[in-house]
Amino acid sequence: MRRDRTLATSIADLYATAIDISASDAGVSRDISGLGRFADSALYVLASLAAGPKHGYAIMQDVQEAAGVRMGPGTLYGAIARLHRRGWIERLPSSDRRHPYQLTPSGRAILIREFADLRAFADEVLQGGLLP
Amino acid sequence: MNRRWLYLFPPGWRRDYGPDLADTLASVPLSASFVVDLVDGAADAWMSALAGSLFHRGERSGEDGGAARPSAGGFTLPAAAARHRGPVWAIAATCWSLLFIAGALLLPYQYTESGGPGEVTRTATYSLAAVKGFPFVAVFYGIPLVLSGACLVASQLALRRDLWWSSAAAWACVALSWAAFLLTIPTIGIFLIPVPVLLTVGTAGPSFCRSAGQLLGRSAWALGAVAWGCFAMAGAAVFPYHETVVRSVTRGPRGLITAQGASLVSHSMIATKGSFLLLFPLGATLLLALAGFVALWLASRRGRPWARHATWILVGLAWVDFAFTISTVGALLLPVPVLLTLGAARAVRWPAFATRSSGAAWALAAVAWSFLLVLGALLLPFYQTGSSTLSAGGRYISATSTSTLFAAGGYYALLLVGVPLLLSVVCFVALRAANGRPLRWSFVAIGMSVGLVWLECLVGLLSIGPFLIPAAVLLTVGASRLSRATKHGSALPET
Repeated sequence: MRRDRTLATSIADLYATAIDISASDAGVSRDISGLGRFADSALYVLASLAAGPKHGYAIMQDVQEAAGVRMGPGTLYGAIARLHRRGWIERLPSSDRRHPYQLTPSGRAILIREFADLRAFADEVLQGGLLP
Repeated sequence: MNRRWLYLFPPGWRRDYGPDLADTLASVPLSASFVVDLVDGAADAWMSALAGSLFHRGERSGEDGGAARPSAGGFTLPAAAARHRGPVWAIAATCWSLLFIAGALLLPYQYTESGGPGEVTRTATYSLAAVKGFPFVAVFYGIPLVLSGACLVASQLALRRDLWWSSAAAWACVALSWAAFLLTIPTIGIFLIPVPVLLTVGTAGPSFCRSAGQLLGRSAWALGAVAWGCFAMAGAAVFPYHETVVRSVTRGPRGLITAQGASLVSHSMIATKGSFLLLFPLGATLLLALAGFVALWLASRRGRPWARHATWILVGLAWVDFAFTISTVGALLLPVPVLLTLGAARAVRWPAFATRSSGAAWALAAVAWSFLLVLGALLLPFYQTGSSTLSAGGRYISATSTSTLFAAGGYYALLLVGVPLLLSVVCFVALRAANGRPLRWSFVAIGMSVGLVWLECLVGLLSIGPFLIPAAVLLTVGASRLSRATKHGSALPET
């Protein structure tokens, strides 16, 4: 008789393991596309933070200047919250009320992979004659 | 002015990102498109908070490097919930739904058969499936199972795929399970209630608990009691309550046919019992819950010592109110004294043995509950001994007499109620012993006592079984605490 856990927790463990396996197989939790409609905004945020730590308003300005995209505050903080939750960015301590964010190593790896994918896609389009 | 937009967002989100967003909002002119984006972001934050609460996964939150924030004395979820969050609740709801179906298939169900005029009315006992048929059980009793399973899957999708509609689907399952409970209150609804409660706790619990716990402290429990009191009052006013009405037609001067029969009519409970019900016991219970909320709030947030004493007086009154109304709506009001007690108990500095050997503390709670049951069987007149119908001037008057369980059933009834007390004591002693030195006999004693209490719950489901469920649950939790301590090799020395 296994006394070390209840039936419910054992079932929950099995279930969570099965979900973990299926999720890692699909690459869901390690892919920026898993952020759904926030994927593009999240990529902009990651790219902006690649230059150094910034707080929310600075990221918004940076994205507008670099990419010409005017991100709304709801979209910006939706993306930041998701990136933060996944551990791809982290909050720096600050004496100010505002906290700047910076990329974590995993966030940097994600950004590099996303850009590599984009570059490969662009090369394929340009060299493959897909454009008229 | 711009800071007011922050109140669109959930409290936990505001705590984490509020200052940043306030600064951003102060720096940009708010255009119409920004406002739309802000509202959309707020809706997304709420959905994320609700979906995230289904199954937290190492959420990083600020400077704490991902450690879960302790609640400031509000709700404290069990350890199992802390590890598995949403799924363990949804799995519990699924297990209950399976038990619900098993009960319909196996447990005895009493029904009355009556034939035509002159035939004898007889009462027979079969399983519900045998009486109503398997399709009936499969369709109506399968609904909670389907909803629990769907909620489990939807919550997992919401978490893993970050799909907003999955979160909405999980909440839809929660709403449908409440609807199923409310619509079936007069019949099987009371057995269904664990399903919507578990699904709601699993779906909303952790996120709500963190924010509400920080905001309200221990009074969050009492707020739950207030909500339940309002819910009971609204239910009494709105939802159908069955009443049997005996009608008769006497022979007329020209020899008209004599007819007599009983019919089942549905009105609300207040329409049936009168508005007195609104004042007492429903109104009194709601008042106690409100007073308990204020007292707990004053005790936990303002540190008023007199409020702590007042809380315990109110807890006592709530239990007295429950005890005296147990034959009518008391069972419906049980969550009020339970929630108030839990809220008040959070302020107590527990004795050393309770903090060190928490398994035994749970068993001690089971002992207390079982003892109260024995007292109730001796003192409370909630046992119906019979009803009689008398004809008075062409109208039929029904009268019901009640007595204590002991007066009606004698020592045999007392023995049945006393067995859980004995088993709880055995389990308590064994848990205390096992906590100091894990011994084989103590594990056997704990397992047997927990199993036997559950067995009595099931066998006596149509009589005293439901009253034994709290004892069985408390013992099970106590036993699981011990097994965790043993697993981690942290069995502590006995006091």
